[in-house]
Amino acid sequence: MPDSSSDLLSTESSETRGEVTRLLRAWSDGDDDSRDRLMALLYDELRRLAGAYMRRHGNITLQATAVVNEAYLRLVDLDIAWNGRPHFFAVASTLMRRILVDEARRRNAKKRGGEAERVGLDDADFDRLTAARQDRQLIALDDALKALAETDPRKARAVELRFFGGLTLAETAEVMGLASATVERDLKAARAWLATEIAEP
Amino acid sequence: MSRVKPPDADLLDFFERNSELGPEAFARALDEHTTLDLPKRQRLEAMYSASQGAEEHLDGMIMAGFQRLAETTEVAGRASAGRRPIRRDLEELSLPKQLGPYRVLEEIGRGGLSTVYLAERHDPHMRVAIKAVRPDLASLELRERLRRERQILANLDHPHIARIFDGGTAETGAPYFVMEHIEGRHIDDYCDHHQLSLRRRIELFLDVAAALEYAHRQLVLHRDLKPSNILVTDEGSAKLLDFGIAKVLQPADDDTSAVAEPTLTRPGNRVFTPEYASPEQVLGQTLSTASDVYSLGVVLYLLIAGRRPYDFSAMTAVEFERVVTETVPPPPSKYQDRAGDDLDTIVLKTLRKDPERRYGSVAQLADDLGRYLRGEPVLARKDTFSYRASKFIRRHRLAVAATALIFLTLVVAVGITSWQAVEAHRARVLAEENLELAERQRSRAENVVGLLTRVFEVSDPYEAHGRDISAREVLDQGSRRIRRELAGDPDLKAELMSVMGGVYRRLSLYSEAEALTREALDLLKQHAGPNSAETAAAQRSLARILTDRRDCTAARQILRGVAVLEERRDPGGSGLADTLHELGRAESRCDLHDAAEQTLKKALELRRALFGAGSAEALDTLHLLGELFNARGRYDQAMEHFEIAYEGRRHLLGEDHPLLSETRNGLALALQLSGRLEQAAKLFEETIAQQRRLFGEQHQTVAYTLYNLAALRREQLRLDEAESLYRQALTGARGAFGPGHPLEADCLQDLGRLAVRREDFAVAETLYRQALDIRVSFFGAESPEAIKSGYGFAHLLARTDPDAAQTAFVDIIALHDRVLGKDDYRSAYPRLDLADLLMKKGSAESAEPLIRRALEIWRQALPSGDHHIALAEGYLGHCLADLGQFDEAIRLLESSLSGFLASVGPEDARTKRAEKRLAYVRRRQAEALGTY
Repeated sequence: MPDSSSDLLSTESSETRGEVTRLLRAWSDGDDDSRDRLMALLYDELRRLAGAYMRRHGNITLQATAVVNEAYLRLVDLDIAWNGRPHFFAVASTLMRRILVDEARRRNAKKRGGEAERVGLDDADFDRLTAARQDRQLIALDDALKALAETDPRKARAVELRFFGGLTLAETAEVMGLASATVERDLKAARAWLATEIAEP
Repeated sequence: MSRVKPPDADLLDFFERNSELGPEAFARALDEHTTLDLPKRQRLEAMYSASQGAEEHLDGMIMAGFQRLAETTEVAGRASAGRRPIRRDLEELSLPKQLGPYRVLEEIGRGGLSTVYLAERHDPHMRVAIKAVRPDLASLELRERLRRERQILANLDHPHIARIFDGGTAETGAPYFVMEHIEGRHIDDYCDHHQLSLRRRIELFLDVAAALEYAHRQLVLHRDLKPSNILVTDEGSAKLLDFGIAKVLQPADDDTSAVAEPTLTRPGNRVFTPEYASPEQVLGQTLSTASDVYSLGVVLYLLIAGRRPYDFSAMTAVEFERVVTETVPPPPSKYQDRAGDDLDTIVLKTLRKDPERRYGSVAQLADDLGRYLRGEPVLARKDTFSYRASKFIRRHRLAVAATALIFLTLVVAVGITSWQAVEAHRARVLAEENLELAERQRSRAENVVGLLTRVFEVSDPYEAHGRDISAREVLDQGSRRIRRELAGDPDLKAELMSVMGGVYRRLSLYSEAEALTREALDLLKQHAGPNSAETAAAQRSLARILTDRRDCTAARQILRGVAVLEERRDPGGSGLADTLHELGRAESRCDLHDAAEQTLKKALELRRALFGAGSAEALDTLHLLGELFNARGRYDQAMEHFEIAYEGRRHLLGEDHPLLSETRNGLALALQLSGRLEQAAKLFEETIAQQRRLFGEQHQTVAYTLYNLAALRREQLRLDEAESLYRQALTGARGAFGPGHPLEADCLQDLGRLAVRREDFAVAETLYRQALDIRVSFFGAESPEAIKSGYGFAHLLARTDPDAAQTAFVDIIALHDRVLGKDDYRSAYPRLDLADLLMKKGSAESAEPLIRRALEIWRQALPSGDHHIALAEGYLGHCLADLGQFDEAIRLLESSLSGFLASVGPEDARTKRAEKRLAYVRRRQAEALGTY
């Protein structure tokens, strides 16, 4: 039976939406405490939405773009008198990074607890090994991004927005207040450095 | 985990400055940069070679993270009780224990839309499968379709088709089908499990084909063929499941509510299984038996090659769509040695992009497979290159035209028309004993020709390893090469980049257009100088791109700067005229109507003096003025301008030029806006016919005109026609631009309005939301376009939640005033909406000032006698009558009626309504007088 995504249309409870919207506004008005509270509130919601989204769409992968867009539609009251979108995407990309990396670290730590060693590998073992490698790569990416941010925070931020937040080049430029061409150059250098940093030996 | 050492700034800096170089130049740059130590040098080399695939690499890594998240949150979600469930509680979906004569035993399968249960009946005893649709997806409409289809499906009687016995709606509201219960494996599983030979696989497949052929003869399409719908029993008998259910769940193609199933037709979420969907399914086009042939072909491919033709696992939705509609899959023999040439040809024929090029029927496919098994020659022929080339040109008419345009401009750019001309030129220059210049000209010409050859090389399918290359790729390839390979000739490089920028702009690919043009601009500033004519021209191109994506403020800023320079250079020159023309366009798009009018008139004056009143330049400006007058509500003036521009352009360019359709559209719009709807409709229809003839069906200009005509039919309340036209325009917009274009948003928005009228609010909301999303991401949240979308939402709320709507309208009025200006004629609309809402709540007092303000705005902004004024007078009269001020009310209603009579004529519905309203208020006044 074909799959569909009916719950795309449902939205979160109005309290959650109201709260997210209110915090976004407060933060955009300069209240930095709101940003922290927003992050705390969004962390769970985003994690859940992302998981649900990925399950629903199986192996047609729509990437971060779709997840964050959907989260925006569900979690923020549409209000054309005020544009919450750049602010939302700015935090959502940071959060998506944190969520993905936290999960990877958690799984990675668990694994180190160690199962009894067995002889021989079956398919399931291979899947697990692939997954473990993916987790390690994601953690390495996160570490490398932190290092990059020390030298050139702008480049690291561009990577976060573009890849973890799924923003387009133009949107990334808009959120950062830079020209697209600048962001493109930043991303190109950042990607090349990151790729060589985390390449598996 | 060891801590990563941050990169040195000079490393990143070096890379950034040199990464666009070719490999040798990059190596040279490394050599010259003596301060780099060996590790840094090695690192930079690694970065250089990594920079090609690094994007996919990072994307893939993060994707994997998302996928893993899906696994872990599912487990976590199950474990933590008390969480608000995202999906409706599963209890709601389940069927009652007894359903008619059937006793439900257990759940045996679950999909996104439905759950399958095992059930049994006693007399006669049999086991059945019951497939129940989630009740929250079951609209009335769906139930109706279900009822209609059930009979047809129940009539399918074939040994390889699982029977559908019955169906209905459970008490929980869940529609269900009762089907023959098949115990077996999915066909691919079965083949692998029993390690069937290639021959046995094909024989099994032929059973499936026979079943499908039977159904097609009964005029039933399957629409969702995939291995999980083809079971093979332990006896080795194949059974096709779920016939036509996809159709029941999805509105019929000719059904006017095809967009109306909110859960099923969000773009990219039509009911199909991506891996098996045909190109026409993915594009949302009409399906025929050829679509089933395609899906069956994917199954065949899987059975033969052991894998599907495409791997979508790391693709975005857009890439997915592109691959399905454009990429030719590798032949199965690539994965299965024994497949051979004939089988390749057969399978690839089922998978052709164009339905008409596939097998004409399943029977033909089966016949060819039979021939293959018997070792006879098969009938299928390989797709020819010339066919693919002509197809490519048809599919990408605009882009090919664009590429041709690049070619022409390139040739002009180096001042040559052919090699002979180069030689002649060289001879002449030689005669002047200017060897150096001649040498430069020659190498420049060689550069261009070489570049062109390489750009077009990729569009040769053999170069592209059997993959179709899209025009977009040709362009991308071209601009990459220009960037990389013309470093030695910055003037030429800048010129070509700016040309490519223009091509991208015409395709609405604004970020690429902007990036290229900005680079060209930087180069020109360096080489030709910041105040040169070349730099000014590139700035105008940049401003045009910004205007087109409604970044008008930035565009105006650039153009005002350029205008100052140009005026200093030559106050009567064409540079200034061009700049003012663009500035006028930007002001006009920003709704700065007064300024735009002044600027454009100045540009027109200059151009007339320079080139003559009938020149192409002057006519272009005249056309822009026409558009401006349309926007200002001065339709007669608009028509006058369009008529002159039309005659002039026809004289200059001939009857069939695209600019002529543009002007005709403007004229039709003026007619429409001034209330002459039938005349306008006729003009639109003529234009559509002409555009179709000139450009083909799937062209952007056709889509625009269809949209205009649709809006007009809507205004005439010919809603069915309007709906169908909007649909055509929507398909056209998606076809011409890809998803996410503003025209797509316009169509969605207006389809939403039609849905509101049908009181189909859920559908309307979905459509509005899609439109809003596109507009916000395309133009930004404070753009007039996004405001229009928000306005749509408020209208919707007015029907469903008046209190919320009231707040929304208040916000929108504020936003209109702020963004468009307080006196903009459009800000009267939301005021009247709010007033209407208030009057319905019985508070005419608070409505009155709003209507008065709206009337004032329109009286100021529009010419007297405009039907808008009559409309506002009608509202005010109605409101005042509610307040008991009958004298003024009647005066206003009389004025409203005569306004409508003069502007739209006695037959128009609005005139009739005004008559009724006046009569009604007079009666009320009489009653009031009688009582007191």
